[in-house]
Amino acid sequence: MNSRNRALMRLASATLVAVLLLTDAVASQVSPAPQRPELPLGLDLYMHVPDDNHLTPAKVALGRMLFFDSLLSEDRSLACATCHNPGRAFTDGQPVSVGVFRRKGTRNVPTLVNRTYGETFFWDGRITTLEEQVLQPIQHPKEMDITVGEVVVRLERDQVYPDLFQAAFGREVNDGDLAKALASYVRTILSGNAPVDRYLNGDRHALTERQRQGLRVFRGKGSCTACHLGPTFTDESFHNTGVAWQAGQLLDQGRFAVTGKETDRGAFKTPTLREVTRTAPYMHDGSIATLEEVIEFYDRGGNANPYLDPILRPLNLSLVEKEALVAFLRALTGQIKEGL
Amino acid sequence: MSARRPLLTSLAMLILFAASATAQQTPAELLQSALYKQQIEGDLEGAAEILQGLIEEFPQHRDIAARALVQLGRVHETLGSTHAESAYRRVLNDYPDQQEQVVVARSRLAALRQPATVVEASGVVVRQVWTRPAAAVSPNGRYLIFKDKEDLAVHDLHTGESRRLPRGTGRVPDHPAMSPDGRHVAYVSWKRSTQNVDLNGSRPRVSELRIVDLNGSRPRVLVSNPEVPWLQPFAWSPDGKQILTVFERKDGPNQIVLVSAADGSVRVLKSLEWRYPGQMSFSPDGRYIAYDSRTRRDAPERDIFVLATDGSRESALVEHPAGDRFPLWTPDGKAILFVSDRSRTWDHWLIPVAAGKAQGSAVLVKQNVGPIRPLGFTTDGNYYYNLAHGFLDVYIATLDPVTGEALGAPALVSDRYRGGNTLPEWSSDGRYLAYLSRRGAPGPGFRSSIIAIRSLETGQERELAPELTFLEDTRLRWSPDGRSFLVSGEDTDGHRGLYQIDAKTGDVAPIVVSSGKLPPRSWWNRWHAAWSLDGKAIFYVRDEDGKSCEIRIRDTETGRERRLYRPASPTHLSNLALSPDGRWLAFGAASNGSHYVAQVVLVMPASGGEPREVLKLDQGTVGGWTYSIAWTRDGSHLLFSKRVASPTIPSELWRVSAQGGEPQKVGLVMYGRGGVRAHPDGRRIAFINRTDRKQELWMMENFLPQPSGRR
Repeated sequence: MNSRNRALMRLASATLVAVLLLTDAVASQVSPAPQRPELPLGLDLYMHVPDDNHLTPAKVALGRMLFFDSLLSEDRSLACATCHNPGRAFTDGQPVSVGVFRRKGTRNVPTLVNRTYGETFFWDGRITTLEEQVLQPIQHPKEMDITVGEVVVRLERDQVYPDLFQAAFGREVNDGDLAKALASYVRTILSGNAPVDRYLNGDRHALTERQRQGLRVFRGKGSCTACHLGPTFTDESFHNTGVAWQAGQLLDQGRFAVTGKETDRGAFKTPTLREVTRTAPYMHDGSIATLEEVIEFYDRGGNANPYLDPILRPLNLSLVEKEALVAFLRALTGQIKEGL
Repeated sequence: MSARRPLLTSLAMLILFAASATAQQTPAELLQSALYKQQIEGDLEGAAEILQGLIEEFPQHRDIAARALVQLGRVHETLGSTHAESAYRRVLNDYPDQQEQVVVARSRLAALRQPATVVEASGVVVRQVWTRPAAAVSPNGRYLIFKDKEDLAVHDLHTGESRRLPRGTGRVPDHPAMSPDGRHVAYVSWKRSTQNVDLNGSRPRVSELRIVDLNGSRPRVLVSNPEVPWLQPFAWSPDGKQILTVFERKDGPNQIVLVSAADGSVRVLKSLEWRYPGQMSFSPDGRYIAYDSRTRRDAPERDIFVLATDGSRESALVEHPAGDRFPLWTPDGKAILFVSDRSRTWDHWLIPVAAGKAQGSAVLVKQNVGPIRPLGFTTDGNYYYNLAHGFLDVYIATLDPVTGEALGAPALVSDRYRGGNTLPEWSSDGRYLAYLSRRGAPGPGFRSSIIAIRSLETGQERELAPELTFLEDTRLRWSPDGRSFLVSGEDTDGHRGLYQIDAKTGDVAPIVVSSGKLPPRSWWNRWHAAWSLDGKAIFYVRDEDGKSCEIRIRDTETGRERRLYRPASPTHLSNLALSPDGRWLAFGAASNGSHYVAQVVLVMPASGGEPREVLKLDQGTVGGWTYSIAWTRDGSHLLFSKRVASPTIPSELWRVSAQGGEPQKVGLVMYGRGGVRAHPDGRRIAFINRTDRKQELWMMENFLPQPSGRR
């Protein structure tokens, strides 16, 4: 855990305790009133929140504290926020994640913004709820490498957490509530109110001329909206773009490992483009460093391979169009907010 | 003055020309022209004008004038005009000698005086409200908003009067929704942007959400955003503050939005990507909306969802493999009424609901309501809906085996899923009739069709629902051993071709498919085929690129193929039919680039060889081609549909000797595409007929179950 994260954790703890002291919901009583985060412009009012895990301030505050706490890793060196750094739009800037004991993962850390609108999680979409998802990195040998049971024991022995779990859930620490608290916090990480949102909502001056040109390429010649569409700029679907195809073979089977369908070989989930300027490097393996290179990749139609998604084809974009596209992608940088 | 003279001169010449053109037309031609205007162009006023002129100018042509009066009455009925009665009365008064028209006029007058009302044993009152469809009904049930050509109009059921609403600067106003107080109408219209230009230089379309007062005053624009090329208002919130609308955004997704009726501000409730609600309605407390939506791109069936208007939750209210659509909240807010085909007809179902969630299973409240489009409940609890009539159905007729003429009127095969039954095919033993039956939204198309197999002895039907989208121009061909069907279709991976469907299980197996995905709606990708007599091979037209047709025979076991015929020049080939003795293959041909329907009927040896021309169809301005060819059971003749010049008759059934010669009329009107099939008894034929599609406004009183057990 680096010093920045520790400081964030301390700040979060202090804030939370202050809030709890000032409310009637201290310890013995759980506030049941569900709340919703304030939505930035451009996002849907409807966000999926499970009936058994409504958002409450206490849960979200607990989730935030857990998110920044390195107690959740085997050697207490990593917190969720280590890889999902808020300063990098909840990514880490590395090609692939680096876990405890410097163990190197195989896939790039995806951003957490707007995951409340997600339908599946991880690059291969193997998980369908945030409650399930948040426990996976904790247990993964190349990430935090600790059992959930052990985390529960650590939390039970902690001086602060048992009270916070009581405040949030009205019961002792347990693995289910650990997941619920973390998922609740992740649900509040939102990005919106970007120039593109203001433009789409009628402010015709929110985009520069070059960005407007980029938007036309994005929708037209670039066919980007075939996959990157909607408020989250993703179809939440899976496509083989050939990134995993190297030296005549797929280095990562991607979605195929989940579905067993031939057409899913080497297919990965479409990532959101919101905050894309802050989430380099790109692709599921972080193999492309810059947006310009990403555009070059798609301009040549991806990497040819037997499972290439037929959507992909050479685009023949001009240099001006490529530059405009990059300019437009910069207009997807908005305001990130988290918490209630 | 001098500048206006040329214009006036031109106008005068135009009028003279038009008058002379009318004068040159015979009464019969004028009647045909009126029918064409009415039924083909949908120009009712234009048709009425021609008919009126005919009646005034040619009263001495009593048979035609009487027919014109009856037709004029029908036109006025469709227009919802009270002039219908006077037209029919004139037939009785002025043309009592025209008995056939007198009978029709009397029956229409009786129907008009006593609107269709049925009081069912259950106490439900079903009543025809108007002879036209409405687009919206006012909460008090007095006013109807309807489409009047390219405008919206208000019809007052109390006075019988109609008036158009101002269109404003937009075009083609549509999808009206009335405010809960009945004073305002929200609707969409569109226009070309004046601010923006597309990459191709054209002005993009901008849809506008507009409101106008019911009396036509204060038209105003609520939403006009170039990023929303299309939008559709569905309902007003019960407090009248929000308009529930769908935005189809330029960048792809469809969105359910709430638009403030006061200032046009927009809240996006939910993005649906490719999905589009068929209907949306508010709960009476305004806290929820119900909407229907497809759940898969490749299937037309819909489910019903309930979404909280504060965005806090959504639940799938009705999840069922069948099509569930048109959800409407009941006036007490305790249930949602919807239409479902889960029991193989279009039925009304009711599902109890509380706090946005189902509170039990759906119950059937009214069976076999037909192809309806619900509009909503009025404040007195009456339920209004548009009911469609007509379109495609399968009929059986008996032909004189010697003369080939039709004996008696054709009989409808099934009254289930009326309007969506097509492509008949007999079993080789003649005991069953199979046909395609559409189970999605009413209307043409084969995306959601199933194969119905009807026993001619018992009338019982069983159904096959293969995982295949039938191509628009498919044919249903039953194998000689009765075990499978041969169809053209598109599988779930988008591969088009010929498929074999197991007649017991509905399992689908490809026989021959295209090498790659084809663009949708490639009409030339027809894949017409026929079984060999032993069922071990198929004859088929290979037409994968739309340029180079040829007839092949393919062994279905080994996959080996042999070319039987390839025209010397590019020619469209279609409608293969094997003679009952298996020796001859008949088919249609058309030169490329002009028509893709057959202009020539050819017969060639089934083993291959040069074809001989049996029939060359006339080249009229409207007609002169065939969509379907079948052998009579004795192999002596070919039955074929012929598109004729009359605009009111889609096709006629004809026959021609297999040796050629003069074709003869069978005396049946039919829908040509997918056509005619001869029964093994040599007498009966199955064919498709199309009736004009018509919609009317109906209502039901007292049809929801009463909690007190009143009925």
